Amino acid sequence: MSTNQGPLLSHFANLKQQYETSQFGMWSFLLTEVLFFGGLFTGYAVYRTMYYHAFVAASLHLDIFWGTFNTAVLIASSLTMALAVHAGHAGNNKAIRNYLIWTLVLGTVFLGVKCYEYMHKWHENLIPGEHFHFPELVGHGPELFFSFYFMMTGLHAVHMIIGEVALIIFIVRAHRGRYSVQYSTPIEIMGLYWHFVDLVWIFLFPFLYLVERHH
Amino acid sequence: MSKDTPKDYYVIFAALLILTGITTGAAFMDFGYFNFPIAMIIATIKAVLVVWFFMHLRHMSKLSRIFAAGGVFWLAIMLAFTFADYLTRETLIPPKPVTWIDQSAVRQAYRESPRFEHHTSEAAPAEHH
Repeated sequence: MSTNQGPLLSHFANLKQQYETSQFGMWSFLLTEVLFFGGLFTGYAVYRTMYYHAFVAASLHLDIFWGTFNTAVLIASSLTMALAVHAGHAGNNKAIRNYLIWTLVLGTVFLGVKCYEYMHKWHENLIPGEHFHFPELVGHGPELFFSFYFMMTGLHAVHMIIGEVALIIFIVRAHRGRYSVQYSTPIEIMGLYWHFVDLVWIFLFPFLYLVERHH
Repeated sequence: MSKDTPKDYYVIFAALLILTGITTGAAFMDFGYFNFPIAMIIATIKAVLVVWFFMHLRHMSKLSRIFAAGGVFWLAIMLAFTFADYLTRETLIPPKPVTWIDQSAVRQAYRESPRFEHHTSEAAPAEHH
């Protein structure tokens, strides 16, 4: 833990405290994020219990291939992010830059697939609202499912977009050779955020795509 | 930190991909009530792998670990108390539920409400005359 500390700022007692404060700050933020998404998870769980059959029927309209594909893409982006953090500890700016570019590309692939899926839902009239059309079932269950689908994946996508903007900033900085063996904490903090976004998707995937597929 | 090697990350990556394959495959099999628990257990294993290795929680201070555990703890409270309420509302659970709330009864009540008539007369006045 001694390898990764920048110049000591005056309001910290020592480098170790400074480093741990950065880490701890991001973990605090992620804690609020857990409960932010947690509210949606709880709402989802309640309505899934109430309208289970509707949720099963509606979930079958999601494309399992693209869902699984996107999960793999996001896991791969987490791998490249972890490798970027690793390169950060070695102070290798070129490797940081390249791994972050890979992360950015994979994140963009994920968002592209998501766009394609949204478009598909649009054409199938599965956007909740006036033109929502779901002939297999009466009642509002399927509409509720798709409200959760768009809210959860949408909020997740917003997090990805924010993460990508941050990635671009760090790619530029790594390109300019800003990081060293002594100083790569920002890359590490970026990594925590990116892995958390991956983490949310790990739960969204079974919630939305895998409700019940054996028929 | 420097204890980790890229090889560790590739191993975790492979494990995560395999678990994704397993959870997708399991969704197509019928385990009765256990389908959802299986999916959640696999997701939790994946989450622990990400947090423990990719997010380096295994190298973090105890304070950070307590914080990370706190997220799970508060989420558990939210879920537990919410379901302690919803799952014990007998009036919402019919004996053989397709859904908890009888949709047709809700719609009927809605149609009979004055607000609904007002709404339709505005939206489609031709049907009334």
